Amino acid sequence: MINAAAKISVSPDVVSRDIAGDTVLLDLESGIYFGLDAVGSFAWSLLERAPRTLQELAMAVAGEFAVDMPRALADLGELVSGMQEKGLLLAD
Amino acid sequence: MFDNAICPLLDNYHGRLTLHGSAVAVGGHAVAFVGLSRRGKTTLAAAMAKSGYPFLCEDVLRVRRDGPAYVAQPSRPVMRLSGDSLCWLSGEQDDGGGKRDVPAGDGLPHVSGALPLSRIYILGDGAATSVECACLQPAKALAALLQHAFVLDSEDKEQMRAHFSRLSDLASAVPCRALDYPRRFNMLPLVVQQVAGEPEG
Repeated sequence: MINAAAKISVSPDVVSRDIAGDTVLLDLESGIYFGLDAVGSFAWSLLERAPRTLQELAMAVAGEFAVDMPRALADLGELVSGMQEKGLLLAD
Repeated sequence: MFDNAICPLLDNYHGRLTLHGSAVAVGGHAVAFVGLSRRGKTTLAAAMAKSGYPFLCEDVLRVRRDGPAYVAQPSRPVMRLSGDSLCWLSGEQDDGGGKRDVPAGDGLPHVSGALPLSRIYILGDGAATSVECACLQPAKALAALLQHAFVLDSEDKEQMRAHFSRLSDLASAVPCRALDYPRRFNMLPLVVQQVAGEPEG
């Protein structure tokens, strides 16, 4: 699980496009592409603007999608960890 | 080899948009079929042509942006058909000699002018038990199109970035469908009916 205080940012080797509310990512290193659902797309759009902590991301997602903080933290933690493992996100 | 493999790579490298696909003319618009090798792009284009929908191209689909829309460009008036496809189309005996170049003609009409691209069909693997056609959301269409574009140098990140952007624009602007059907020649008339019978867009 990612450190809640770590700043998360998008990898410079990933290019993304929002199409009709869904986000498609292409990892330029591997050539592999990924699709994000609405929550993932929202989180990605925030991270594209500026690095954020998991806590900050969870607060934004909880407000946007009307979910409680523990649930937002848990779901985002899983998503961010997975994306970090794939090299799509970086954490300092 | 040069026309079907090297030129498309160079096209995409130089900022153009070229996909592994065929296209035919339906009602004054181009309809494209993209897919992996041996998914039936050429045979389907040939079946469409045989039914009166002239082909623009059979293996390499060159697309040009025209304002908010896209235009499919014709290639040379030749179709490279496998022996069994040729046998089905012409009624001749399959001589087992592999693929052959078949010039366009009365039974295989070709259209020589560019046409506005109205939709793209992504061909499945033939696992369907009947003709199946479903609209693809643009994000899914983009993911599918990424597999069918020629890329010269995947190490060149700026090229990849620009190529991704061009494909994203295409996926946003042109409706895409997932099309699958059993790969049997007797299914092709039904596929032609499905494709030709769809409304524009």
